[in-house]
Amino acid sequence: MEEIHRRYASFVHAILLARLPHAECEDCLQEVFVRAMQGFATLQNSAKLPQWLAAIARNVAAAHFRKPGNRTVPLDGLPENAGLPATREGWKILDEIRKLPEAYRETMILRFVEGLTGPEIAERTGLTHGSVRVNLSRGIKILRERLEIQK
Amino acid sequence: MSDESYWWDRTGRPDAELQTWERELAPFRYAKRTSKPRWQYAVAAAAVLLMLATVWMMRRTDTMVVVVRMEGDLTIAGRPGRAGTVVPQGQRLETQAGGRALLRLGTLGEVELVDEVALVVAPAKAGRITLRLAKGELRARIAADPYAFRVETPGAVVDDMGCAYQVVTDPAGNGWLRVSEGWVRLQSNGIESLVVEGTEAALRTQTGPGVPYRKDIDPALRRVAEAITDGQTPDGLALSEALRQAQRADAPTLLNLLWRAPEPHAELIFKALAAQHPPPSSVRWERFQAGDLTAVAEWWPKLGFRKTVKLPPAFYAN
Repeated sequence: MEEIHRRYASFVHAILLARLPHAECEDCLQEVFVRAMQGFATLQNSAKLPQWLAAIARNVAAAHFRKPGNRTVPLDGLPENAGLPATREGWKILDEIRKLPEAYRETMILRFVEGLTGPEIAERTGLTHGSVRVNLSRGIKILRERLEIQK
Repeated sequence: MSDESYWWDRTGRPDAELQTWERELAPFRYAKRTSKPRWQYAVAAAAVLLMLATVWMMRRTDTMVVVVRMEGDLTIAGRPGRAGTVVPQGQRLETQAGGRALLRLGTLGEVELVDEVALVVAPAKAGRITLRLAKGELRARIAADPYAFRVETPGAVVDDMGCAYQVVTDPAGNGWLRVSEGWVRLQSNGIESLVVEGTEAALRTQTGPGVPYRKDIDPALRRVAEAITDGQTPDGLALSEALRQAQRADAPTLLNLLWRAPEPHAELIFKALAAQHPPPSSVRWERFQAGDLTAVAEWWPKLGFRKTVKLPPAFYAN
């Protein structure tokens, strides 16, 4: 499990960051891997491990919002966590990425936050190169437009 | 404007704006931890080991295949079998024309063999049973966890999801499967079908599992399902006509077509299915377009299927 954690932690982190406040991601990431460990015997096809982890991460994020007091995500551009060495510009870009259509959001975070390349994103997510390329191309276009409007 | 290869794999001419995004977003990146995993990992690992050991102990004797009763001749590895005979792993069991036999599958359920059947009890993981059906008709009634019971046919692998079904294979390896209760998963060479109760699907050695449909489905929709099963792309007019004729009860067919049809067709199918069974707001066409099959799991309870059961990992997890 340590090897799986090492290889996929940033991937899972991106899925969580697409949905949750940054400050919540670390705890939720730990929960994803605990759940994965508990359910590992039910995984039928190890080739689907990344997709399986992604589904657990989405569940954990959804469960997070079902808890009382966790029902809103600050998407208005205000900093969620002043302790991070991120600039106001960084928060604004992250905020706009989170407002993108769901299909583009995770791919954009994997590329621009976690620093994966397109082929690496395809390998981790199980999407085709074509789908990743479309998600990135359209995501970048929309993000440029929205950031331009705010200037 | 950027060189596409920069944002794709960083090999092209850098784009200043994208470099700014990368720099500004870097603080949000996952910070790799060098410390050992938290104590929860150790507790979870211990709990999992204990659970696996318990399950293994409990299931050791639960997967014996035994002949319960029979009509006509039955042979195991060429020798006559009778009621009470255990069918060993790797041995070929055969019934003769006009014969029948009932096999108990440990505590997983039972199968009835009808007419001229040839099968082998194949190796399987602890707690599971796999039958390799070479020819004949098999009627299964299973009350076990998903994936505990599997039938391998030349046309597809049949994974039970807690149900009753009938599967027939001819000597050439082709056949069909009909589900009377619950649902099963069919898969072969990466092609997957989910067959729910009241529908049937072809099993073909050349093209794998078919798109399932109801017995009294409209002929136009049936032609489209068969075309997709054969790996062909129906023309747009034929698809439009088929979707006009689709009824609410055809949701299993449309759902299978949705992930097997090429993209322009798949979007039309999504719209037709969504018109009959409005999906939750989280389930949108873009997710299917991006290959996100977890959307199926979210839609599943609203599609009118009687049972809400665990979907295969590709569709959902946990």
